[in-house]
Amino acid sequence: MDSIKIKVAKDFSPFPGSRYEKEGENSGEKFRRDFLAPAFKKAIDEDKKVLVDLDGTAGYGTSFLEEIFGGLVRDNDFDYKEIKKRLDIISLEEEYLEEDAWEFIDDAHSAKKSSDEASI
Amino acid sequence: MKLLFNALLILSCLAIGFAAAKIYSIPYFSIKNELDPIALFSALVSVLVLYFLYTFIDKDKEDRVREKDLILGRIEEIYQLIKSQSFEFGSSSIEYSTAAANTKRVRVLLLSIEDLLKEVGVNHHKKELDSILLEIRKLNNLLTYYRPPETGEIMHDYIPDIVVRDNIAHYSTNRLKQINSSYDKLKTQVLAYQLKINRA
Repeated sequence: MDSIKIKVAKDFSPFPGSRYEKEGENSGEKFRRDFLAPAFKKAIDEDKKVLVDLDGTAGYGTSFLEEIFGGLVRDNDFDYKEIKKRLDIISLEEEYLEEDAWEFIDDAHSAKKSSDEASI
Repeated sequence: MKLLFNALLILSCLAIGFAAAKIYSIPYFSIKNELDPIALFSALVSVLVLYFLYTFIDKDKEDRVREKDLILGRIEEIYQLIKSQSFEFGSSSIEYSTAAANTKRVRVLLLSIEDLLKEVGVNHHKKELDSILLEIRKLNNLLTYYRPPETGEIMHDYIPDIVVRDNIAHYSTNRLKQINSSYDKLKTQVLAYQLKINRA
């Protein structure tokens, strides 16, 4: 399966910011809205994968990462199984970030599931 | 100075040997006043081999000590960097992206130390290094993580531990205590690591 590649340091910024756009520049919310979510939508439409390369930045705040990955489930409403199937994450400089990213996705999915069950 | 000392030592040994031979006579043991060229050559070769072996081992030992000193100096720089970061943080607010970059910088430097230690063949104490890296990860979370509001949560009930305005992160008192304690722990761990490498 072909991939749509996004390198945060090159395509977005080498200095990622905090969670929300109202908090300042280069936020996770902006990255997800302008880069990750459109790429993911395109990947589903064209049956491709999305490869997010996290290397090369000055460093990530945990809220930035939670917002971009957890937000895919929480705010963009992408199907959890689709995310599992289509998302690839590269982080050679800080290899634990990949594990963290999947944890954020899993947690957002669990929280959404419980919230949906509670509202029924 | 070292050469002079060695020369004096050899001369002293020869003098003591000569004097001892004059004073004591050992039964069944006599010195012939003739030289066997093959024995002399063999003795010279032995002395030369010993000299080169000693020089080689000594140089190797000196190189290792120098390399270890350089690496210890580098660990000291990391310790000072953490110290300056914790001092910089003392004002209870910091630029959010700087907070994230600080922890990555320390982590990358520590990993380069691991590579250097492996290269010079000094035990890099993986267990201790891993626990430092884990603490850096915890510190990064403390400096940069605040939960998003839960679905249906009323906004005025949502009080995050970090409030970011114009890229500057402001911390709650509780979070501040946790961060300071994490910095202290990290400094202690790096110092202990430095001592371990020194003894390696």
